[in-house]
Amino acid sequence: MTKILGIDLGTTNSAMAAIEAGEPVIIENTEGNRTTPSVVAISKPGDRLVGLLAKRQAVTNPKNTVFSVKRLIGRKFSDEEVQKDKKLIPYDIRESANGGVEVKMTASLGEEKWYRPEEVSAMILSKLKADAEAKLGAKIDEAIITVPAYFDDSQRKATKDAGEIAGFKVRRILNEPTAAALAYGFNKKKNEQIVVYDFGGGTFDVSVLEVGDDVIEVKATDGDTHLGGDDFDQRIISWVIEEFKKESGIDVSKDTLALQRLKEAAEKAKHELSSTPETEINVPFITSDSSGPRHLLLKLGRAKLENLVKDYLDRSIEITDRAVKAAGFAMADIDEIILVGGQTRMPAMVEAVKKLFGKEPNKSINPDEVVAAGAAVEAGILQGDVKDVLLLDVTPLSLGIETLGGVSTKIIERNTTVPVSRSQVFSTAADSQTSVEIHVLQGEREMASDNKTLGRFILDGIAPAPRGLPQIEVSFDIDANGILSVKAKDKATQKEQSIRIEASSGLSKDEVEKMKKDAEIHASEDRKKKELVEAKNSADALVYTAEKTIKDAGDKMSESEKKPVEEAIAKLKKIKDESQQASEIKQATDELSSALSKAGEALYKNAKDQPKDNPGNPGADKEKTDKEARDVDHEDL
Amino acid sequence: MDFEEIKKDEEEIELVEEGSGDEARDKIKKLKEELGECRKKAEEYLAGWQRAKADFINSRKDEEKEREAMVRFANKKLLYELLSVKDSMEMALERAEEIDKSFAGGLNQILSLLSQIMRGCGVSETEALGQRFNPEEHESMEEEEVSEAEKDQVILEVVQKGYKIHDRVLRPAKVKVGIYKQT
Repeated sequence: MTKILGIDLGTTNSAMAAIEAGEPVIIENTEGNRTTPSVVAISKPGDRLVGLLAKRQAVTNPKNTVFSVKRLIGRKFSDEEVQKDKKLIPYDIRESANGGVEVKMTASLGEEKWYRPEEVSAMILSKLKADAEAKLGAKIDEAIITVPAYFDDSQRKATKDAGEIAGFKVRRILNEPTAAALAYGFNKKKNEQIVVYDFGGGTFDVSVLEVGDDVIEVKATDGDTHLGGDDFDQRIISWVIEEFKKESGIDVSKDTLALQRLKEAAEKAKHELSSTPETEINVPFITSDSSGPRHLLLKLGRAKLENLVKDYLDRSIEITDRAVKAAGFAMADIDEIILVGGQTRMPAMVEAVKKLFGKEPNKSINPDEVVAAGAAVEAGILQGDVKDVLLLDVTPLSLGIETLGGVSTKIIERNTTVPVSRSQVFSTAADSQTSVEIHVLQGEREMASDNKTLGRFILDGIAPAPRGLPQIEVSFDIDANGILSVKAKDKATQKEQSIRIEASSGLSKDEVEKMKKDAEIHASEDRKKKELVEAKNSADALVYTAEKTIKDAGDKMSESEKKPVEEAIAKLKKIKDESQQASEIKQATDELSSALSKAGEALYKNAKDQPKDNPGNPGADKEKTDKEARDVDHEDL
Repeated sequence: MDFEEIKKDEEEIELVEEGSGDEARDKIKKLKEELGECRKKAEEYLAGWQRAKADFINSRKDEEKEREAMVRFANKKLLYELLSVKDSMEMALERAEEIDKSFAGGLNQILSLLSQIMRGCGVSETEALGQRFNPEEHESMEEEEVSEAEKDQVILEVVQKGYKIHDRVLRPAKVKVGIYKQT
């Protein structure tokens, strides 16, 4: 079965994705990038270039480098939009015989050739097809291509033609906002209203969608075809040039290298401000004058950037507001908002959208890739990738057992795909312990008492041994029906005991959500509790080792050598029982640990003096026990 | 139909066979059909299972390959960012040579330390000056008219150096390209 390729054929950049193992995966192009510039050129020597390569020669070959052809596809030459764009684009366009648009590219020998926009788009699609085939190692004949929701029949038809010229059988022309909604799985949300806020590199689109029984209906669209992230970059660059001029009196706007470095620095600053409140635009040796070299160093904060682009932000919010009203909805009617386009990473933009709707917008899927991913989801539905019988579930919550000190130790983490088996080896917490209780738990909390008990059983008949020595293998197995089997086996005696829990996923969706939320809310206090228990556990283990070392050493150690260790033991025991601070216990543990290594050194020295009677290496012994104590430990019975 | 049921039916066949007649033939026919269905399902499940197993093995291989590539290019972003530091240091060096030779020498050494580290990570400088313009490695910033035909599309000046990491372009060289104009 061949795959159907999902393609986001954008104005500035395009992306593609396919379904792999039921999930949409973005496919990199041959240059190793996840997006491809939607640029086509005939180079001076006459080669056809597509994507990044076309972009790299655009400056010196403007007449033969075609970008933003999406603005022209399927339109009449007489369209107001086309006439407006004609003034902005450096390449030549003319009216075709049937009233459409034609784009000129000149081959090397000066031979002029006029292309329909769909032919130019087809060149981009051909590259994507070839790159995807190379990457996936299979021929791809079918595609789903996305278009803006406002595209009319003729624009859709032309896009479909572009796909066919590129050699695809176009299975569907999908609306971009619908694709975004599909990527988030919102097609399953019946009777909900969704707003898709798409702030791309060069265009801004808002769509209001309604999810019906089987279809996602577009209720309204609005936007600005000449508003995008590139405008933000331009504002930063202009501001920097202006500031530098004020400071130095030098205009760098005509200096190619200076401008290039400035552009890179501005873009970097913009990206950085999405995650930090302030950044520096730092371009040393940007230029020079009679007084020597000049450097550019400017601080740019979020507030300043927001100020520079405030009118753009406000405009996008105004347009969004207008679109929702045009769809006949109030802001409160909107159930979900999806952010699309790289510029939506800007915190102020997220805030502005959040303020307008009074709720958090969806932004967990990469906004540059969400449309392509959604197209792949649609492809997956069409090619019927996921058979009912093979729909694999995941465990909604983590499963584990209770270990020493009431800690919940996870064996199967949440979101693990089932069927699955996992096992871990535990041990006893006390000397000569002959049985352990296996307390099976479900939930994300760190302490056993906060999680849900699924069952308990006792494994007995363990051969008496010092703590930490017996090896008890606990295995969890969840079958495809969600039935959990827990088995505990003593590796020495081969004795085993098990339990079967049918209702391991019997929780309702709300209960699962509540448990997850509880875990989030209590995360930090739970961690503290766990740290305390862990500190006590390792203190216990060290006390045990220290006492044993001293006992084993017998008269090989003098009383004066033993004394500091005994004192440290007494101190740690006291603190361990009284303190509620993990750090205090840890400190006392460290003290005992260093006292113990000093005693160990002495023991070594004594052994060297009497080489025939080697008492062993207490340092190594300590390390071993410590390690065991960590992944071992069981509830005392 | 599961195997328990088949077993029960098989017992019934024996009983019916003794009685024989149309009823038995119908029963056998029905069972054969059901057996056929079961076989088909079994084949389908086996195929699905084999496919899933193969998918798993293949994706593990792919993952291995991806991991290798990731290790090779893991530092790509950092190395790219370092290029702007290197550019600035080269500019500083140029100026320093005019002012203080000895200081410039030290700066030059720092610069070679940086270059050495980058070389160690697989970064190499792209050849550009005097080469034919090639958008796979170069980005054109400006054109300049030339009177010699052989200088057409040849790089006259490197405005900003280009670099490769292993076989991939880390940053294209920003260049000035000649364009032949007959005089």
